[in-house]
This record gives sequence, C-alpha cells and structure tokens, in this order.
Amino acid sequence: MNKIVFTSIIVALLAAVSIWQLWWAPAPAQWNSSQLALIRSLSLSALPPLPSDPSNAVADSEAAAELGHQLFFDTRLSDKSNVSCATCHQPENYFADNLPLAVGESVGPRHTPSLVGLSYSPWFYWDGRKDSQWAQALAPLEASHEHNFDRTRLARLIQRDPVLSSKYEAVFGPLPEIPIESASPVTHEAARQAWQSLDPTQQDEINRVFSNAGKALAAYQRKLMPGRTRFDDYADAVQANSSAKSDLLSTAERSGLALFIDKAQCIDCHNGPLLSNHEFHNTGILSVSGQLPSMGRFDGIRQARDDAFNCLSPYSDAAASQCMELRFARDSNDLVGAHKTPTLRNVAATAPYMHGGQIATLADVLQHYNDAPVSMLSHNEAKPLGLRSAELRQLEAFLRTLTAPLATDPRWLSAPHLEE
Amino acid sequence: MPLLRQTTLPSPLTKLLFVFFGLMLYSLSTEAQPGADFELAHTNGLRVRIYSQLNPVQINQMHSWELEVVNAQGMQIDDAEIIVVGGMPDHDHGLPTNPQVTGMLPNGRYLLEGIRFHMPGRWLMQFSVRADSTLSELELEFNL
Repeated sequence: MNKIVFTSIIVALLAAVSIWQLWWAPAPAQWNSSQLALIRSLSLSALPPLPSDPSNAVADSEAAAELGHQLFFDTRLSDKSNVSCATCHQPENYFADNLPLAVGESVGPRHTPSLVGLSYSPWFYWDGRKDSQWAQALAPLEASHEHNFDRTRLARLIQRDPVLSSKYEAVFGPLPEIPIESASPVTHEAARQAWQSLDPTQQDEINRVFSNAGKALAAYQRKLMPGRTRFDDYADAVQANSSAKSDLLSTAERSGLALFIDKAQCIDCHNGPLLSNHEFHNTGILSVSGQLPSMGRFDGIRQARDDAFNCLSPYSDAAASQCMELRFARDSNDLVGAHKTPTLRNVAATAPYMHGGQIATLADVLQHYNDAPVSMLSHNEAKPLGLRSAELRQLEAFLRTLTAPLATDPRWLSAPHLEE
Repeated sequence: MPLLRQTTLPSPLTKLLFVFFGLMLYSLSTEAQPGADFELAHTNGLRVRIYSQLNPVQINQMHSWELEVVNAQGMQIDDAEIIVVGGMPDHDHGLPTNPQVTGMLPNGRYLLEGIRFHMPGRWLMQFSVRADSTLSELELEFNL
C-alpha cells in the first residue's frame, strides 16, 4: 500500500514539474508605455542614418564602393587565387558562412561574423582589435589562414589590372611604383626581409595603397544593411495601438518578445535597432576546442592601440580629436574573456553561434544563457535566468522573427560584372 | 497666445517698450544657466553640477559631459583634479569607456569626454574631486 502511495506522489510531482516546465507564459494583452518604448527602440525604424567614418574619407563614395565591391569578390587577392572576402562572408548567408570556424586558405581560430549592419559598430573583430572597418579589412588579406596574401602583392595586382587600377586611380589618384613583388612587415620571413629592404618612402607608398584598398572595401560593406522583418512591422504597428495582439506575430512570438525585453534580459546587450550594443561581454562561453581560452577584449584593445592602421595612424583621415572611441576606450581586467555582442538581425539564418562557433543551435544558446555557467576566465557577467523550457521556446520563436532579406540593392550582393 | 492679443493698437512708445523688454527677456533667456542634469553635494559643501551634451542621455552614443564644481560658498573652482569612473553594480562591469577631463570650457566648466553607456539599467558613476588639497568622493546613481 505504502509503495502505491509513494509511487503516486512521485508520479504526481513529476507531472507537476513537467506541466510547470511546459506551461507557456501568456502573451501580454497590452503593452505598457515602458514596454512600448523598449519595443520601439528595437525597431529598424529607429535606426539612425549610418554614422560617418572620419577615418575614411571615401567611406560614402560610390566610386570607392564600386572598387571595394570588385575587391570583395576577387579571389586573386589570395596566395592560391582561391579565397576572396566572399569565401567566408557569403551574400547568400547574410555575409557569414554557417561554419563553426572560418575556412580560408586553412581553418582559422574564429567564427565568421555577419557583415550586415556592421558598419554601425565602432569596433571590429570579436575582440575589438580594430577600430574601423577599413583597418579590419586589411588583416585577413595578410593572415596565413585567410587570404595568405600580402600588401605588396595587392598593390602590384591593382597596378597591373587595368580595371582595378583605373577604378583605384579615379578614387585615390595615381598609383606609385611598386619595386618588388612581395613584401610585408607581418607575414612570412621572406616577405618580412623584403619589407626591410624597402626604404621608408616605399614602405609608406605600399601602406597607402593597402589602406586605400581597405577603405574601398569598407565603402562597399557600408551598403550591407538589414531588411525589415516581421518584428519591425509589429513594433511599428503597436505604437499606434498598444493592444499587443496582431496577425504580424504569433502568441508565442509575442510572449518571446515580452521575455526578451524583460525577464530574459537579452535587451541588456542586444539593444538598439541592430540588437547589439557593439560592446564586449564575458558570458561564460567555453573556449574553442583545442584552443586556450581567449583573452578577448582585454588583448583586443591593446592590439587596437598598437595597430599601424588605427584611427590615430598616418593612414587615417581623421583628426586625433575625432578618434573618440580609441582615445577613451577602457582596458580594465573585467574585459578578460569578453567578446563582442553580435547583432541578432538574421540570427536564425546565421548559425552556429559565438566567437568560435561553439554553440550549434539557437535553443542551445538560450539554454546557455539560462544556465549562465561559471566562466573559464574572469567572471560571467550573466546570471542564471530561471526560464522554463516553454519560455525558452517562446524566446526562440521571437528570435526567428528577426530574419529578412537585406535592404541592399541586389547588384551589391553578387560579384560585379567585368564590364562594370 | 491670448495674452499677447492687443485690443487697441499700441502707441509707437509702447511698441518701443515692448521691443526693449522683449530684447531684455531674450538676453536673459540665452545667458541664463540651463538647469543641471544632475547635481551632487558632498557633506563638506562641495558640489558638482553635471550638464550632459547629449540630451536626453541614452545608450550607445559617445558624448561628453560638462562639470561645474563649486565650493561651499557657491564659488566656481577651476583648478580641481577630477577622476570619473563608472559601472553597473548589478552586472559587475564598468563603463565601456574611460572618460577623462580634457580641458576647461569658457563658462568655467570642465569638459569630461569619452562617455558612452552600453546597457540600459542602473549605473553608478563615482567622481573623485581634489580641490584645495581636499579629496571629495561623490556618487551619481541613475537608471537608463
């Protein structure tokens, strides 16, 4: 008899826990004024015009974007002529690649981030080691696992190609004489020795062509803007009528939105119309398999300060007073292990996730934040959320409303025609 | 608007007086100090008035604050050393930036450059002001 009672109690408890876990959080019938303000702040309608980049005088030049467009898709910008920027930043995948780790000439250490809307960010790379999009664009060209190219080879390529040289000179003026084929201060030994054989003027001229190519690539990337999603239409519609019900979002998606802006605390970092604060946070992500834990922004800001192409460098078009982010960047210990908040625009189409592609699915990402595990390095800023499994599914349903085709002229989304 | 409505046409002298007083009011309104966004007071009488150059203060925008430091007698102090740090106590992290006083403005205020808040929520800013060999620590807590 006792056995039957005991079993019944256990079954009843298990049933209660299961029901509690699976019980959907109700969708709000009406948004209050502070919820409406938060929802409005996330809408693409609240996205300001793209800020200027004082360090890049041609950031908004159409001619520079045309040149950057051609360079972006050109596999000749690699050692084996098999890697272009578009190898990893694939237009059909929101300029990401759906791989855990980027694969250029070989497998790299980091996951490819989407480029969509990235021009709004003051910092680039997961650890923020570049302070402009043009300076960022230079590094993969010389990274051995990416293009494995070098700045001198790039300058020679532009000089020898009539279309590239014509487009380059139309934007930046005459190309200099490039006396050797291959040289760089940061790549392999032979190229470094060749670089040392150049005089400072020659080095400067090559650096100038190199940085100008980066500026053209940045001008092109500024075209890659996110498109309006179902969420944006909903966010705008409810401003006029605070009733939360709408055909634009399902009950589960609206419940997920309510969690996103409140209990789940996603909006703490994924804020603003791009759903990113473009800043750096330690959220207890495991290190990439086979790698030591990344120091993240702690090292990144130091590298940005030392970067030969940063905002304060001779290759920047900005006055020192305009380099606000670099001048006032923080570099304290709490940035150990901190990585950049990615946009959630198109997040359902840009798996896997995190700086090393460590987490395969959105459901697993949400579970990670619900658990908020102890960080391997420094501390996890996030705290356990205590969300039920039904709430996690609602949150995921909301995240899946954030995907839409780009608001970019389709001609920028594939390789340019040669006759252009 | 009804207050400005005239029932009879004003004489030329009245018109002149209107213009004169109008100009005076305009002058006062442009020279008057706008209210500080925040004001902090230390028990020793030192006060720090904070004027944000970004109104309203909002997340994800780099901006500057102007600081006015006055002593217990209400006199502006223009040779103070000011260090500002800030963070979110609930998240165990600081500001994303390292704000610094970079100079004085003609109105006697200190220019604090490099302020950017990157998260909504409770922020705590700490001001260390050394003036007349006295160190005053003041705190500003607010929600964004």
